[in-house]
Amino acid sequence: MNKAQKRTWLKLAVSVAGLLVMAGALTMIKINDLDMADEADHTALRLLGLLCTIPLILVVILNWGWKKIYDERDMHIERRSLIIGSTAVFVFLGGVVMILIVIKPLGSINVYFLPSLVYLACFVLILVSSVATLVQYGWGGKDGEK
Amino acid sequence: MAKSKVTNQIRRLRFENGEMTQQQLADAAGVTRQTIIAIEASKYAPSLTLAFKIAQVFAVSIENVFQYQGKSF
Repeated sequence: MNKAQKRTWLKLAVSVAGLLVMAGALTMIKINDLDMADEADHTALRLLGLLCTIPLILVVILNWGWKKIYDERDMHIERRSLIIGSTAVFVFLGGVVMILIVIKPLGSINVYFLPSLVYLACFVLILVSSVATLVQYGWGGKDGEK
Repeated sequence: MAKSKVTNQIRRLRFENGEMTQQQLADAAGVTRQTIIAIEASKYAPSLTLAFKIAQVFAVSIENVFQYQGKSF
């Protein structure tokens, strides 16, 4: 396993942890019926948001200086994985919008829904691109071949 | 996954050049050993720059190292 693969496994672990933290945060919001108008609840929501941001910061740190350890094949795989991850984010966001239209065609959604959606989109991007990277390394990939 | 249409003689050339290891070739070409492994197995087609670097390491022309197995025109 080369450095790029090790780094990708770490990113995958961090993104899964981030998704679990998000799920926990949303569950807490639902159970405690946190309200943005209440000051104490507002502080709690800020802390939860910070908790969800930590995995994303870890991923940025992991990517820091990545060009120094990658060779051309690694960069090729990473570029393709990013395209696959971006496509997955579009599909995810489109799916969420369609579900919302079906469930709440004329209704409103909670104010914390949008930041949650942004965080989830980031984690989907990291998760799918990490899996795509590991699959390409494991199976050899069609790198360089159109 | 489909193999690359670009085949190569790298393994043979390595043995003909003092039984060069994959790591030695990788160091000379400025890539990782995994990349050399993928190229030898025809699972990765190198860039033009890398192909020329590998040919230079063996002191042969690029056609002696890499061959294209696609349709001929």
